[in-house]
Amino acid sequence: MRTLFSHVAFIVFASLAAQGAQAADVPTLPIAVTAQGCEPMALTAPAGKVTFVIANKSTRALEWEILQGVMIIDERENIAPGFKAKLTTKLEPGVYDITCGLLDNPRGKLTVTGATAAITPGDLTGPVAEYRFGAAQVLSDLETALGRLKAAGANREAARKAFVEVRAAALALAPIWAEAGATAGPLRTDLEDADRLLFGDGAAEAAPILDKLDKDARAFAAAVRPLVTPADRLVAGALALARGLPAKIEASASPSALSALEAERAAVERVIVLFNPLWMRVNAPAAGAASLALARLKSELTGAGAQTLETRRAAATELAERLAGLPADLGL
Amino acid sequence: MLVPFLIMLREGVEAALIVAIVASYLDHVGRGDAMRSVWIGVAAAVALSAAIGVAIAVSASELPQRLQELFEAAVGLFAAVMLTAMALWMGKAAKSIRAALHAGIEKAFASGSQGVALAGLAFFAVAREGIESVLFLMAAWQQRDDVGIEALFGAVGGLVVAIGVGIALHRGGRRFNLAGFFRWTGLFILFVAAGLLAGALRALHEAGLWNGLQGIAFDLSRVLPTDGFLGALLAGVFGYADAPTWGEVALWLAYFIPALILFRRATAPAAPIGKPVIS
Repeated sequence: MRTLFSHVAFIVFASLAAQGAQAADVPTLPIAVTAQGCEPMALTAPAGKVTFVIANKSTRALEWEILQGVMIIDERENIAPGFKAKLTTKLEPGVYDITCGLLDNPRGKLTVTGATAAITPGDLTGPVAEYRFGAAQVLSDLETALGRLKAAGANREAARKAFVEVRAAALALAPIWAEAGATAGPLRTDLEDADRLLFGDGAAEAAPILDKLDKDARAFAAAVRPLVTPADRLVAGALALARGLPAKIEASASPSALSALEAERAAVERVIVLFNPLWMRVNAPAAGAASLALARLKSELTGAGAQTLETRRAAATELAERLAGLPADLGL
Repeated sequence: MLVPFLIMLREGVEAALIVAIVASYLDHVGRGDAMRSVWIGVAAAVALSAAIGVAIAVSASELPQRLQELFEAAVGLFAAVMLTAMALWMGKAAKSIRAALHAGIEKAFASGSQGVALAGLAFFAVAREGIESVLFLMAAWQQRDDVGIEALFGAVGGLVVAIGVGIALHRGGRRFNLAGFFRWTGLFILFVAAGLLAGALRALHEAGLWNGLQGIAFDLSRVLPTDGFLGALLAGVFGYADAPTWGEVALWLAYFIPALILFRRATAPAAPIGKPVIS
């Protein structure tokens, strides 16, 4: 029997210790029960852990219950008149009844809003693995495009076309450039130099610039290929990229500059799409708004309509704003 | 002040009653020596309750409600089974008392495992009410600025009176001679056990496990409320509820009627239930 005591004591103490550790950030809702009913009769609480502070303002002993149909979700008993009691409980979204003192007193309503299932680390492994798989495909596209650029030789049109593919593939991984260490910096410079060479005045000699681009891009690919970027840094990289977009939008947008911007936008989308199902689960309105903002910026950057500097910048700014809440929503 | 007194009276009587029944039983079967382990069980339960109560108050956390209700239901079932066995055995003993006298009783008791079971019953009965009582006392102390120190005095008074009720029941039991004690105590215990079973069902409901037959059978909460003096006493002794559900009423009857028939069969026909024989 003694071992049974110690087991019971252990279970109780362990659950108490767990409660104590979590007590800090649990929202607190006061509720009073009078002789006539609850004050207020209707409560709203966020999903998850909530602490109710129940004040008995009646003259009778109080048992306060949260009910779903006839099922008691949680309760506090033996609250004497004038006493307060704490009840910390974990609630799923839905509408619950609350008892308000005497049996024939009307029952109150407790509405629990928002998402239940918080994102767990396990939920994030899927998007991380998918991103790595996608990145491997992008890297093989990059190598194909590099081969095509080399084969283009003096054919300027073919070289331009191949270069845009190289740049699109390189920029598709822009959210994890920071992860690629020292190889990302030279690649960026090379891409700018090659852009000037192929779309600009064309005064410089082509071969050294394109050869350097080829060498640096392959080094970058080698550095990126084994990377497993954790979810927090992946999202942070995409958000940083999105925040940088408005400043990159210039008045005299050349087709080449626009295609670079679109490549960066697509790189942001590539990350967001992977986390979108999780985001929908915890904050569907924000996730929906972010998808819309991505689509709007795409049409601003690739559409044939009357886009202006202002509308493009506004769309890019809106995207950055819509994405800002993602890390917090995912608990990163 | 009155409600804290009555709440603690009810909780206290629930525990004191079981200890009193166990003590009276051991007295009458000539095993007063087994009371030592019963008192150890009671003391251990008080110490455990105090430790858990203080730990909860110090860590500013709460009693896990479902776990506690589950514990309450399990102890209630265990107590009801033990008490029923005791009552039926008492009934048999009452009938054969003239023939067997104490020799038979002591033989029945010889195994010794019954002593451990009874000490365990006392432990669990006290622990079940003890944890709640300590928490209530701690709340009364912590909230003394809002509710006044009288609430604490009332609560302590309730516990003291509950212990007094336990002693009085024990003393009252002693006034019966053996046959009379067994017959009347046996019947009394069946009422107690029926109340414990209904209470265990309520605890299972409060633990979220039983949700059938939840319609209210009758509502006496304005006539004889459990936070009134008589209601609290009845609740403590017989598990009285002022607004029981159909499930509780059904279980009460489903237990009590067959148990009563069994008990009467055990006592009858040699000694039908009649006048108490007071020594």
